[in-house]
Amino acid sequence: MNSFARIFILFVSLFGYSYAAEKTVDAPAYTQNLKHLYTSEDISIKAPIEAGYSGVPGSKLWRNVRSGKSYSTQAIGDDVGVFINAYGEDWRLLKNQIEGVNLILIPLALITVMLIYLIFGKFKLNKGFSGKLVERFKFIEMVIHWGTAISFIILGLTGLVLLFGRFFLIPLLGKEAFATLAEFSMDMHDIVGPIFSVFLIAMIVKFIKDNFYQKGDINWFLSGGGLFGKHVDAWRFNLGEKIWFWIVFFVGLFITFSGYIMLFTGIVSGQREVIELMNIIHIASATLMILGMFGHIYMGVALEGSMSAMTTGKVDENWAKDHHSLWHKNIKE
Amino acid sequence: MARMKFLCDAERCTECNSCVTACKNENEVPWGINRRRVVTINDGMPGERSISVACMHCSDAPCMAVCPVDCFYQTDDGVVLHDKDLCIGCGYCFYACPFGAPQFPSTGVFGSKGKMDKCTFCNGGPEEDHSHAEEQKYGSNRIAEGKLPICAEMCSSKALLAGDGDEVANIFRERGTYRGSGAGAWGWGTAYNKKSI
Ligand code: SF4
Ligand code: SF4
Repeated sequence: MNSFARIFILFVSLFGYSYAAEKTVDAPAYTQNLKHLYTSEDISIKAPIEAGYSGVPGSKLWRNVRSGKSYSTQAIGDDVGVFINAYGEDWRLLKNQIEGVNLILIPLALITVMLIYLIFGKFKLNKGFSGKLVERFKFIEMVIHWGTAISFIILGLTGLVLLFGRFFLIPLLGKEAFATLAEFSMDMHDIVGPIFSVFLIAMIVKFIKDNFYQKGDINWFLSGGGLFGKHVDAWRFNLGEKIWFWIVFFVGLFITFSGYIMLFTGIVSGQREVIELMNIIHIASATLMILGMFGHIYMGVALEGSMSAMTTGKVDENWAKDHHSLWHKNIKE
Repeated sequence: MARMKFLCDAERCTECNSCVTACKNENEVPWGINRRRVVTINDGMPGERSISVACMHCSDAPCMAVCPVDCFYQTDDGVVLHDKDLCIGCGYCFYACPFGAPQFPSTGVFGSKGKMDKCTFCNGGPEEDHSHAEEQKYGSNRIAEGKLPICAEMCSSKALLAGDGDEVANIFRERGTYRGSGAGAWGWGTAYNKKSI
């Protein structure tokens, strides 16, 4: 310690104690000792240094306490050797921020999509229905699609109940009823999650070959994906659908990966920070997926003749010509 | 109104685990649950220090803020308690708590963790004071009897203090002043065979 710091500490303690002595009329006896201890000589600082050993770990001790490292203990359990959960508060604040964003984004997206539907209504086929049907999806493909869709909707709803129920459902249902609902939601989420992951993998395997970039996709993109009235040539899936596929691919894998880690590690020793991180990834990616889902459902509903592709597996020939001309030409041959 | 606090004097704690044992006994805490634990830094080396850790009954508690079913409440004494009938065992409180206080009885399949259990400052739970249900779920309620937590009462070196924050602070301050610190501490010279005060 340099002499300047020592003089400074001495000065501050002198000032502090003379001030305290003045203020406290009937100061307890021990402050008298204190005065003697600190004013006569600054022993507590000098002596340990002379002895070559600092008897008081002081700031070093408290830094270690705060470090989040694991120390020895007789207790057995999860992260018992750790004094302070170093990232707990970061996790909570980050989670709050993401939740706040969700609270704006999800209703906003829902309202936007509904408004667009109300204003523009259905997009009609150019020449109406021809009555001739072509097969668009096989039965197995529809099973995979609806399996993914239904399990995702269950997961989304139960997840939202757990995230926001405290703020919106407790005032409506009361704490007891909501706790029952929350417990049910948590269990459903845990059971349906793995089912979703199986469908997700099946879907990726089944649809991936038609979702790579094909010649002409960029034109679809450059002319606005047929948004401006004119239909653009497209293969089995247009670039928009392909992008949705890859969002599902990556985001879905993020959700599944983080979900499995949370599901099967539970609170294993030393895993607390991992789970905090996985929780954030899970919430953020699930949000992206929900937003994408709104757009996807809108397309199915708003484009006349689209829905039957996933309900009966067949589409009208005119629909195929309008929306997926290259694919239509392909299957004709 | 009192504001209940724990304080563990790191200069006194000898890692005897009396507090842990006393808590387990008083509250009939099941296997695998540590409402209180003693952690030792630099175990067996110079500068070894032990601190007894449990729920610190935070003001503006993170566990309260994060619980999805809002099952926590804070008493007028500042003690943070929770309702096990509402708890769904999600574990969020454990991820948020700075001290690792929330504990879970079983880690079953599918991460089901059971109802959360933690230090109650020997103040039971939302059930009627001293009722059978309260004892079964939360353990004893010494505060309702006008007593302080058993861990602090049983501390062999009086390192662990529990009670009204002002009282605890006064005791600690007085102690610290008498004791001095570092080489200024009483008996330091004898202990290390060096010139002291
Ligand atoms: S459980 Fe943790 S966060 Fe909650 S009051 Fe106790 S120490 Fe604070
Ligand atoms: S484990 Fe229980 S007390 Fe803790 S946050 Fe979840 S529901 Fe709340």
